Amino acid sequence: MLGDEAFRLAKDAKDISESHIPVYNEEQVRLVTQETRYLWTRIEEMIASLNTTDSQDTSLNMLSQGSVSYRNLQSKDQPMLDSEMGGMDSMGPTQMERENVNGQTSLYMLTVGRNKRCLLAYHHRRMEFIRSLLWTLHLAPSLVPPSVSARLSPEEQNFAREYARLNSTYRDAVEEQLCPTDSLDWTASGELPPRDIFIEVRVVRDCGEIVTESGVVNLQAGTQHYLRRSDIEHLLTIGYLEHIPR
Amino acid sequence: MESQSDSEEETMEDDLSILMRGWINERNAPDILEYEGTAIENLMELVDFQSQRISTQPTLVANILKMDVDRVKYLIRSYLRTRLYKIEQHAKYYVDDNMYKSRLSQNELDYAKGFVAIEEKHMKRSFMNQLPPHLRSLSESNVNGLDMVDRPDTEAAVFCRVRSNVGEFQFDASEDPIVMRRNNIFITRYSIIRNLLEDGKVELI
Repeated sequence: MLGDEAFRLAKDAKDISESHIPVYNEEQVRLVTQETRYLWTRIEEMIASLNTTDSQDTSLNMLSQGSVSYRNLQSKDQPMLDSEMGGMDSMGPTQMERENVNGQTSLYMLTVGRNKRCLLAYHHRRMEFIRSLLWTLHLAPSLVPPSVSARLSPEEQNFAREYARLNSTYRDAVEEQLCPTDSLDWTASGELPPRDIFIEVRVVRDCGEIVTESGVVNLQAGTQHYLRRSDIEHLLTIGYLEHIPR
Repeated sequence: MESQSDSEEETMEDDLSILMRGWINERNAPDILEYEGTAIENLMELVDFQSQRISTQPTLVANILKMDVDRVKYLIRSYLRTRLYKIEQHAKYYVDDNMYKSRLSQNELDYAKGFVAIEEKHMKRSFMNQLPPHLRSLSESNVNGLDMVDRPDTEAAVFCRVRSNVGEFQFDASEDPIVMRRNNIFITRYSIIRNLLEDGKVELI
């Protein structure tokens, strides 16, 4: 049935949650664009069967701008033939044929519009997911786990990189303008204002050795440390370290 | 007497309070507000000054100063992040509208334009270019009464607190005006009080 493919795409988009994204459904996207191209060709044919070739392009333009109701597709030059039946084709389409074509075209136009909306919504929701994922990872595309990036299309991976780049340009420009000799600590916590100078942390993932204000610390998985917040905050916010509340 | 002390208090308000109020307003308003550029720049100067002091102080004092600096930086970061988020929600609309465009800082405007560009590029590459040429527009208006370009919902409900006496105010055209006094709290549609917000007479909570 018309619009089934778009529906499947919409359902796929619905499956996106805060932590989970389904694999990019390239096949389904292809099916929807294919159906849309086919419908558009049929629409063009049907308009051609009604109009003279001069007004064909105008009609198509007006259609795609949505500014014309489907009734107006009929060329105004064509005489209205009330009681014509099939046999007198040479005088132009019959009233019944016009209404037929109008109905068909309306249906196809609505489907085409809906397909486009579904395609846009699908891609848009996935982009939202990618953006919020990147923010939890300090906008470093390299930190995206392979299990997730495998589910993104190449275009989406490219989008992720471009989004990260857009943000780093912005941040550099802001720092340049506000504090050329300092930094705004972009990797510090975005959620809560800092309250403690030192915090107790447990190492979740190996971070290797890091340099703190009081010397070198080896952050091995499973160990606990009492460290200055500003030294390790960037590891805390991406989950490599875990805060142990007192 | 009352209005005199009101204006006195306003001229004495420091940059930190201004930014904090701007931050809370921004988080509660459906559309993007004026950029508090002056407050931010002043605060960053203070941060710079404060940071330089740190190295000459004993540890305890240094820690406190550092905490102060960190908290101000957090505020600025959060403010900018909130604005970026809101810009992303309606990027194309803000870029094309003169009033909203003037509310963005230059860096934010560049960001908004860049964001629109990468979104459009992504759509085109993913499927738009596979559609017939007539269908490739990303800014159709009035298709079945809907606009392709999303606008912020200025009819959203907000809570606001009155900062300085407004006197009688017409909330609803069909009802009597209500008196708005300092520290009163109201819940209403954003569009109704947005001018008061811009003038600083109310704040969102």
